[in-house]
Amino acid sequence: MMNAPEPEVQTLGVVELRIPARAEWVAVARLAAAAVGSRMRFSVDEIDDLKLAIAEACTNIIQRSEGIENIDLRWEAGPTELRILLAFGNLALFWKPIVHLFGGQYRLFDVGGAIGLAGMSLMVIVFTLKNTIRLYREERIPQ
Amino acid sequence: MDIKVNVRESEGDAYVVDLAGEIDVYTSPKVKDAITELIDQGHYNLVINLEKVRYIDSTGLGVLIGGLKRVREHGGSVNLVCTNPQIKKIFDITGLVKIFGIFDDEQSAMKALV
Repeated sequence: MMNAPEPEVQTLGVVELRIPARAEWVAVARLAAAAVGSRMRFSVDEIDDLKLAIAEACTNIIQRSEGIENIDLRWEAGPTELRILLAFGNLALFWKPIVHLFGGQYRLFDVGGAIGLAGMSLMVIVFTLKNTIRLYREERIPQ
Repeated sequence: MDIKVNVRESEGDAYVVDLAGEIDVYTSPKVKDAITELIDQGHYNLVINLEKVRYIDSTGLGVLIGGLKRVREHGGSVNLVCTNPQIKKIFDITGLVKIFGIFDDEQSAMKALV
């Protein structure tokens, strides 16, 4: 009696998934993680760990980030490892970005703008001073 | 993916909450509502049956801990029934085995309440 041949391990390629950043979609990310783990011949325990890690990361994003639209997941299998990229984009920056700073609420856009203006002002001061000093050194006023 | 919650009265003042399905960020509010309702009604001895739960995450654990905290304020307790090794592993990793009474069957969990 011949033994059935071992099925070949299929190459995973790249698996990408975009889900809305809402609680009801975390289960889909979990299912996809389980499918990827299964394709990679992970053990039941390893698949559970993978599912839990993905779900916890998604849950954290959903609970802690305001106005996140989507979560992008990407699985890519290397020869000895599985790389998981989890990215999320904050498109709400332009209409509902609220941050809490120093006991007050501010628009993220305004905070970013304020930091940019402060940086540019600092650069103006530093370069003005530098150039003034250089000018005085190179073209001294005759006494 | 959903969670089924069934609440039933047991011996004495104890109540059993049967859960079936997956407890995650989407389904845990339903579990929380059931537990909170029981506590609000003055039932402080609870057995939560996780035998048919296939998955639980940090939000589910948070709901159980929240329930335990509230019943302990009134001198009550929460015991869990759990046979699924995957679920037990999560309680092990998080150290919650030391906080909750975890039992293999409902009778033992009920006995430990009294």
